[in-house]
Amino acid sequence: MPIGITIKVALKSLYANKLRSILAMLGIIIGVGAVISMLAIGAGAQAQVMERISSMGTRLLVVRPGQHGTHGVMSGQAQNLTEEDALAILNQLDSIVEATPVVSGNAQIKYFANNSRSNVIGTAITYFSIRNYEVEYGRAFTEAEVQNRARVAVMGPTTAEQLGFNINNIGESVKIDGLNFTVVGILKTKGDQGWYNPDDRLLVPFTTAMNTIFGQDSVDEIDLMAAENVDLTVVEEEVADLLRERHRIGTGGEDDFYVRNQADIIETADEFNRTFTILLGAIASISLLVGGIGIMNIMLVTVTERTREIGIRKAIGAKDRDILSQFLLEAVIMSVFSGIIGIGAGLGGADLINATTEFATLVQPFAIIVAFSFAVTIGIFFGYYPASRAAMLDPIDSLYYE
Amino acid sequence: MIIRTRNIFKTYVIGDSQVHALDDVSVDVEEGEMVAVIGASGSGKSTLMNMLGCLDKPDSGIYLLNDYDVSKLPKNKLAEIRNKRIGFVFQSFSLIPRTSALENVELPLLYAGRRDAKERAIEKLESVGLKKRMRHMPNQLSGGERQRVAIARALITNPSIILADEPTGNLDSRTSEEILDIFKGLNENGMTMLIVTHEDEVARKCKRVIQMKDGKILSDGMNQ
Repeated sequence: MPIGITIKVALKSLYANKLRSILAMLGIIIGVGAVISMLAIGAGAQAQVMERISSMGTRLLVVRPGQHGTHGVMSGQAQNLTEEDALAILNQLDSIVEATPVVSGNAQIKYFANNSRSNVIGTAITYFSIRNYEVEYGRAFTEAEVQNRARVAVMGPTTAEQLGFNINNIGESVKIDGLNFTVVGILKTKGDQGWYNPDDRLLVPFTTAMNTIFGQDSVDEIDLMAAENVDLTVVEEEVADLLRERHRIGTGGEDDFYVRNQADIIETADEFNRTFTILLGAIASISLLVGGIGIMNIMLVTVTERTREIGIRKAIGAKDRDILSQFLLEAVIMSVFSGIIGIGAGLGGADLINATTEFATLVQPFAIIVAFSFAVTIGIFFGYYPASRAAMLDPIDSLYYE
Repeated sequence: MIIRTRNIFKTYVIGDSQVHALDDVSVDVEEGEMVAVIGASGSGKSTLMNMLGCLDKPDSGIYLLNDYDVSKLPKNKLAEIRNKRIGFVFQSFSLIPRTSALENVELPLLYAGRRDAKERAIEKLESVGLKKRMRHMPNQLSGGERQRVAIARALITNPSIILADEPTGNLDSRTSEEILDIFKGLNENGMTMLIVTHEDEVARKCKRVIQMKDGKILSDGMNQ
């Protein structure tokens, strides 16, 4: 029998039992929709984390002091990273294009009657480019101001808002732990990133911070920017070798610092998100599977109900495979239609989740293809059994079936 | 010779008991004959028709259709023979529901993979006087009209024989008459017919009557 006619016959019989067909399809529609929107949540979360991480700079390496102590007994953070270490790394390693010392701590910020407890970061001017900070109003502090231990500060937008400090106030002073600092600029917002807020801080020259605010001669962190197109793990090793040499740590000795690169963080986040996506996708796939069972159920009912029709068809010359393809096609058509409607439902669902919850969703073409082909496969798989039962029916038994 | 069977046996097992539905049946039907098969219910007449219609295979014995042994053919081959050589007319409800008269008549040709199904189906419907109602669904047709559609469907592949199982069973006497007239007309034009019936009316219209009982042929002779 020509396939065109078989399709027509299948469509007609599905249409004749509209309500039943729609109910059978509903399971697959929901399944496909769920798979697509769940994968969209996963992909959205992944994209968001990637964006956050890359906003911190993807070529960033961070050197921090290690734990201080002997034979596994830790007695606090070592204070051994210096401004000179930062300079040495910058000057001696070709793979490092920028280096900046960082000291940080929380301090009381006061502007007239308003005050806020914010993060104060003492650093060099290269910090802005390494960490992707931009000054929106006013200016950053200068190299000369760093040299002179000038009491100048660049304020984050959240801190500014808390203090009621606006662009007209640039040039005025705020008190950091009781000391007057002139605010020379306000940073452009980077957006709250969940685990910390890069907008709630004050940037000051590290020289001033070390001497005046925190009173320490070691730095808390050295931020480095690697050259383009270098392998960050290799650079990380180069930095570690240099620091071991400078800190006179012999072979087998324990490092008093550690170096991390952004790639490590990305990898961890990526792995977490992949697991999350797989989990969501797997749960949604179960509903797709249940949908397939729904189709099988309806097809079994259909076959029983149409036993006489099958008998007549066989009497006038239908072969087993004609009957098989007729009923299999009904199941496949149902699952294809459900797949298409399900894609719509998935896209709509993803939009709805985006609009009404804090999950950002991202529908990937890959997810659509996977969900759709999964649905069609399920249609074939669960349609085959009822169809083969129909095909195997004995012509006489089915002709005289009441 | 259209049909020639020799020593056909068919036994069904129902529960613990064996039913000899066909018990050593040998029957010949020549081209152009119009044969009635009569007998009480359970006499084996339906089993005989199923056997002759290649819906069933004998346990033993030989069945030659158009001088070709069909008693041991596989399922698919039998389907092909039913499609090309045999036209069935069943008692009632033998049309496929929700499928127009035209599409019902086309069906055997579609299963045969023929492309001229539609034109030929229209021709056949015209010959039974139903061209105007070819778009109607079975439930929109009267009992007589449905049987005429079934006849058109049986004729469409130019079969060697028409097998009819109680073709007038569910019809009133006037409509029965009409259907039998169509059969008679077909037979006069050379079509071989075998009609299974329990109605004397129908048997009287046939030239030859085979009477069955308990799976055996009780009598086989010409109508006076």
